[in-house]
Amino acid sequence: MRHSLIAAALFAATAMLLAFMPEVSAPRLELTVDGTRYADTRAPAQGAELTLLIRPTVAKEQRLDLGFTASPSARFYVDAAPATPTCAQGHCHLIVMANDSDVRVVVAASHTAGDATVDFRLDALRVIKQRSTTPLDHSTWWFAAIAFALVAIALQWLHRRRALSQWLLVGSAAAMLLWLQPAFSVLLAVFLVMSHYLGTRGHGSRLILWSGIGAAVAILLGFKYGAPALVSLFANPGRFPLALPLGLSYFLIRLIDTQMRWFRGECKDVSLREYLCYVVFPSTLPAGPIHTLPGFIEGRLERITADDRRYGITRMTLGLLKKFVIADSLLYTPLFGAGGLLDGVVAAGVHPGIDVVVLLCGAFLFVYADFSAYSDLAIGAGRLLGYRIPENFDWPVLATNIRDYWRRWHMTLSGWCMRNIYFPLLLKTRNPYVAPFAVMTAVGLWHALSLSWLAWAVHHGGAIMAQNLWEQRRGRRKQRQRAELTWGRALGIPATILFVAAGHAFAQIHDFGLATQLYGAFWQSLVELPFTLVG
Amino acid sequence: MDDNQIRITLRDYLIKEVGLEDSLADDQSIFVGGLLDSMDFVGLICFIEERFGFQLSPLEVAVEDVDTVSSMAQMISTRC
Repeated sequence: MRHSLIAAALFAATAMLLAFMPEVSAPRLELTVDGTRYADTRAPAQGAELTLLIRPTVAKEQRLDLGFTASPSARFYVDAAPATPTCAQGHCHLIVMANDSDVRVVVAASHTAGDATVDFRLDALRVIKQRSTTPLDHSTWWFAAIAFALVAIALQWLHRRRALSQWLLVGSAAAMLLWLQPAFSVLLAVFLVMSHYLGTRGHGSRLILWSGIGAAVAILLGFKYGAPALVSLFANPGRFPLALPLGLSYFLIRLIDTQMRWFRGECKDVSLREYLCYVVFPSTLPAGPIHTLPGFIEGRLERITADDRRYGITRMTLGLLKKFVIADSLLYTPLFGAGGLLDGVVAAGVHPGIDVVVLLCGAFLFVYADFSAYSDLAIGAGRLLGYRIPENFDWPVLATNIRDYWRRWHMTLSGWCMRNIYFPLLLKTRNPYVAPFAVMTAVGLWHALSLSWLAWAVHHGGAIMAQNLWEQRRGRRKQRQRAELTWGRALGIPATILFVAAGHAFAQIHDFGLATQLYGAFWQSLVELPFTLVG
Repeated sequence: MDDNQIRITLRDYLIKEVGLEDSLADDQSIFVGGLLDSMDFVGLICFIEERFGFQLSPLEVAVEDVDTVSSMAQMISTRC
């Protein structure tokens, strides 16, 4: 009970902090009416031509929803191109994309309609979606691909010489990091050498453990939230053609896992070379999977055979096809592309309907295809470099309940959370409800410090707690090892898909108010849909 | 108590109290593999501490130490 109260108080404090934290990513607005600058951009304005200048404050690609009322005859231009807002009952929405540069929205009186002036009042500016962009262009990508190919080819001969091949891998990853971000590379190198020195020599020292974990978290928060220009380098998986997202979050949580092992006296004999190779291993550096140090050492192949080369190339080809054909072309473009389903749903004011259900189920499928494609690439590339990389997904779309889903989705992160958050908390608190909630909160805030991700944590954490409670109330279940398909399990598959899809309202939509609206509309749609179909 | 006796005690608890099948193998993953939920696991931890007379510290015990009957028996025998 005491632990539940402490956990509830911590959760409430986090929610309050996030609710009152200034929105750092919201763009600044400037409103000019017939050449005169307006101080209050939300005040009613009237003139022959109004200009709303949207000035991004972060280096991210943002999709913005402008909510406003305007004269029915007003004409709209976004960066000089004519635009048509979606209006209902006098209220309009206009979806605009903002990258690093300013966006100019012009509202002009229609002379053909005989109007000399136009009325305009901005009600809301909401960030629907945002994703990090990177300064890596196509030529950089090309050079990175050539570098990878050269290292892979060199390793076909050098792999048997363990030390030389591992230094080659460390050197190639270090060169890439140094080229992209020299300052960060130096900091990382110092931190890695120090953590290895202290971790492998400290005998169960809590000071070393907590200092190592604290420093890793501080570096993560500092770079992710303290240096906006650098954030773009360490994005989560996004759109493949533009970015080689170097996953700062990923290798820092590998560090935490290793610190915990060293504290328990495991892997103390690992050499600096092997440790560096594990942390900056090129194929898993950008976006996981999050392998463990013992798994990495055991996963090293004795020799790279023709079968390994075939497997690696096939798996990478599969990943590329999945990424470009399924994720980007078949799912992302119609759902989230300019003028796609998301724009339509938001512009229409987010009302329950089949389009909301399709949007969120599609979002789930997109993230699955997109992320598992990255894992295919990492596993395939890892095999070409001479290592077996663990699988990250086990058909999560076939999960029969929410706990089963988390055993199949992003399995290496789930495993990390199990080892480093869930299990220690369960032992510490002896409370079966605090641990799952804490894991989901940590995973949510690992993605982004925002209310939307906190709500996502409540959605998943609450469901796991509810499942635990329900199973306990049903009494001890015999024959747990049997996994045959029953009617209950079969019905659980679509139910789990719909539940996970609902959570994507918070994962996909940055603005908390809009995400909540979409979440509510999704459940309302599911309730109303059968009646609509029968009707 | 030797390793074999510890295994028998643990298997007995898992089959009779938790409801796992008699065919439970000593190297079968029971926690990571999803055979135990959080509530069952808390019960198992309390049982181990009470039966074998030591406390399990959250930082010193890894999930792998208690994931199979074999690993639990090994962990217990080194502490008893």
